[in-house]
Amino acid sequence: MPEEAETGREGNLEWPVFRDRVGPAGAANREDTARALDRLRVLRARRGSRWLHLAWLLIGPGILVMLGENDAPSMLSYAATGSRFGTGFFLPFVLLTFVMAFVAQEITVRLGAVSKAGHAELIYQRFGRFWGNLAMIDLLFTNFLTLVTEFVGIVAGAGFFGVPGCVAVAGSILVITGAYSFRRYWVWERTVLVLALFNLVFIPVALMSHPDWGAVARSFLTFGPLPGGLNPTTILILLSDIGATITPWMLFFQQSAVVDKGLSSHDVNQGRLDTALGAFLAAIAAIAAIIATSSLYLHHMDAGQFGAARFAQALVPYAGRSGGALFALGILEAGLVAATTIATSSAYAYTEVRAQAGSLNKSFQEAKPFYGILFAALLAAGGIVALPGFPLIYVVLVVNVLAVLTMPPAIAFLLLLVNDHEIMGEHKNTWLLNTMGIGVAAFVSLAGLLYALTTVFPRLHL
Amino acid sequence: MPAAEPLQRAGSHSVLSDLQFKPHLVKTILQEHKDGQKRTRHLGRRTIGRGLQIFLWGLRIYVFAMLLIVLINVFR
Repeated sequence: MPEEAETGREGNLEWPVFRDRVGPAGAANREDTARALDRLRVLRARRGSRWLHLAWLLIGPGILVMLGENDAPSMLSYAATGSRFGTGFFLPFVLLTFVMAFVAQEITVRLGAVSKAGHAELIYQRFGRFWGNLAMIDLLFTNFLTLVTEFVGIVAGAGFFGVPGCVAVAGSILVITGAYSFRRYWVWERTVLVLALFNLVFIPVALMSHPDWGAVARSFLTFGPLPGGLNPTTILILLSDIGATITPWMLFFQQSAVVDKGLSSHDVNQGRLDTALGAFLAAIAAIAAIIATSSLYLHHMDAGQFGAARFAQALVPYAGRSGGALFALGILEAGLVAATTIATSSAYAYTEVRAQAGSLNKSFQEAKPFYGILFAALLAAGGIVALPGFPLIYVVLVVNVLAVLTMPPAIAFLLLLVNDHEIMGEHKNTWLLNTMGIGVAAFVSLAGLLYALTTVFPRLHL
Repeated sequence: MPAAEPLQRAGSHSVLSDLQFKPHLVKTILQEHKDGQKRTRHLGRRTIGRGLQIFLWGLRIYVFAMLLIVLINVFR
């Protein structure tokens, strides 16, 4: 039976009113029961002061979003960074970007836990259809391009093992479908979490490439060296690395996932822990990818010749065949995890603003638009990658940059919402959190302006 | 799919189906969630003053300008 939603109306504002349905035998509906069971476990763990168990139950959205953002283009961006600049300025810089990502994502935990509404839904409700539509266009456009690059990563990673592109695309869509087939947020989340932890495979690759640990330690202490200074190429990599960590889809995804998981305002601290743990793990994986590919820089390999999985092949002489294979597997996994989280983020946002049923606790029949958008995006992006002659390289190059450039309005809405006393009450931002949030927004905007300056004035050398 | 579909079929524990047939307990557990949703859905639109409107338009112009710059860069 499809979910039936009535529409509440007040002036120009519409909101969905989902009927409190019970089954024919007086049973609660499936989505509510699934969420209630998850909440029951949380309540029991909290009542019994089983804090580790409580943390285990409540982690998920934060780790998923952070490791999900360590996606194929991001890992390739880190690989390009390591091979072009070695260890140096970019190691602490990437760490800094994850601190900024934590600042932004922590806000979505509070927003979701307090408002019980997704990010897209809140923007539409508080700012109206016009601004909501613009935010939605930004999100769906960048999400789709990013999704295309995830399949580029999947094809490239599988290509290292001789798997044809169309087989890799079809296989990955099958795996992703498998994770959704349980029709339960909890099972989907745990399945993708296991996959996401595979992102840490870049750590053994870094160890196998025998880096100079002294140089690694020095780079964290000195924020240097930065070979070539701040030229247009450096700024492009800089922007790409920021876009590899902070993007609009993360805000939309985590807030919606927090709501779908059923987190309450009492769970905010565990949500913060989840986000911090995710940021930590993702930062370690990103730094490991840079360290792994820094061996290419040390051996004066031209980074310009590497595209997608060629990084894995190029690493074989320095990290061994198994090191190259692990790197290729890492890129494949990064694409796979991000494909599911990004497609879910689009589906959440679309159904939130259309006032339609959108939850991973619902079956396909109950949430046709949700799963329809999700699979349409996956199939279209996978199909594009299989098209011969499609300029994939341009998409890969610009996708992280576009993510950064569309970020300032997204952060602005985030800060406006979290400072909205009517929504947040006592959980609204403090002045310290506002300062940090504004700092992130200013940093991202300035990075974009720097990119614009070096594009308009290519000879500019800062 | 009927709304009251037994949850074991979704690969879950039998406690799920027990819970499913206790709608009052489900309702009680989710009370805070439902109340929060209801409260948020009745908030309505906030006032967007002139300053905020200028700020939001400024950010929108920033995005359009940056997209143009990216296009220039790609074609170069």
